[in-house]
Amino acid sequence: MNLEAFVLPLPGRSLAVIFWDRVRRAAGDSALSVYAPGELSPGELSEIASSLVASLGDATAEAQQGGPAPALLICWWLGGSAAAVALALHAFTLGAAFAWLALATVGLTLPWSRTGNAFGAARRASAARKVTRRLVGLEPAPGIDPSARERISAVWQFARAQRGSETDQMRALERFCDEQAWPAAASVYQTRLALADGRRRWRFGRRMHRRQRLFSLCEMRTWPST
Amino acid sequence: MTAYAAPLVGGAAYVMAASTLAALRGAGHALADAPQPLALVVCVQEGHQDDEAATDGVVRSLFRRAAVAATLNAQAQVSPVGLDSRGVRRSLLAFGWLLLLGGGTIAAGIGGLWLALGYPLIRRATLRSADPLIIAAPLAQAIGASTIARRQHAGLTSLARLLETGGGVGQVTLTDRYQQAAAACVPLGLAPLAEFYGALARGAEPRMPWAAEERADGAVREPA
Repeated sequence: MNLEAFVLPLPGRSLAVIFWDRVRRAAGDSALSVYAPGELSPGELSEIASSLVASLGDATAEAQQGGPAPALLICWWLGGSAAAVALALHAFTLGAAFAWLALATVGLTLPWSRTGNAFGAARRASAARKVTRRLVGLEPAPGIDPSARERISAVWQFARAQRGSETDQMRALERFCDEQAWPAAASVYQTRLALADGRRRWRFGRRMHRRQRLFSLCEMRTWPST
Repeated sequence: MTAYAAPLVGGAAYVMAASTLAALRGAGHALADAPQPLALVVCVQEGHQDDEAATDGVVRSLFRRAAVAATLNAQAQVSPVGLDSRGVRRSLLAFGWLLLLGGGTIAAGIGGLWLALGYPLIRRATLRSADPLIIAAPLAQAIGASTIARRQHAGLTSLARLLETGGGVGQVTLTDRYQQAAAACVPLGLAPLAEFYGALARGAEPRMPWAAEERADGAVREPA
């Protein structure tokens, strides 16, 4: 398994991102290649690996704590709905006025608030488990892929020429990553912008959700421009 | 898992920042799913020297305290499963048994079966899988079994220099130095430590698990 971490620019600091939802499979040991605008100290590399563990664990926890497993959820809905119909039929023999009793009784036992996110959370947890199984002995090391290095260097060069407010700079970086055919990095900036501006999340909610990638985040230092 | 040996004026402090707690919580869930060895790392400044045999015990106990804090935080975040009111649940259970035993029709039997047995069982199974305490045992085991590595962190080295020189502007008080350190944390890539230095500058007790190492005798003090 080959994981890649990219240190992306932010105004006044940087952000190490690992996209772990679509990893490249490779024979032999797992590797975490880190692409940064300069040399990282061993402690910083450990921080990046640690953020990956936190993100994978969060995805697993979301599925465990967010609601029942999809199979259990289907059983819950099928069992509850069958019971609702059966009780309603029984109540009709007493008179139509009693049907509400059956519906209210069974309606209270169905997992109304836990269904919406359960399948998405289960999918994310399954992706996290696939990566977690191969994490043993994963040591981060500087990346050597020339195209990835060129890509990160272009983003940094663009970021260093930016002026204006933090939001404007991040918006420009998002556009630049999109133009460079790097939607994954663009989605990172989009997520940061959405966090900074709650309204944007609603306005572009559907579009953002479609592009959403799974990644870990680790805030890092500023880098000198030389 | 990454903790920090944060430089102080005249010593260092082992700090379990919020990011360490998040990573421990994440590792706990991953470990509960599939047991694996855990790597414990302490980020140190360049040239940091300590008696590893003596400090390892303190660092491990700090990791344990951080694991407890992470588990309790996770417990606080869990939302209730199914009906929250015990009274309503008991009423439904009683109604289910009445339907099952005295309903007299197949439809009433099915409804009663669901209310008396199906729903309580399925709710219990969901609660069991959502229990945040499932991360506690695997975490404790992994922390006890793993070795502690020390790795140099460029940000901590710069921070130590800043604390030593006090920014190089005349007489600087201890409070000013910690204030400068708190402000420098984000640009140096040590955002999780900003809260720690901020608390020191205010003269308050940092809220995260930490232990200070005094340079004079090398002994490590763990705050109560």
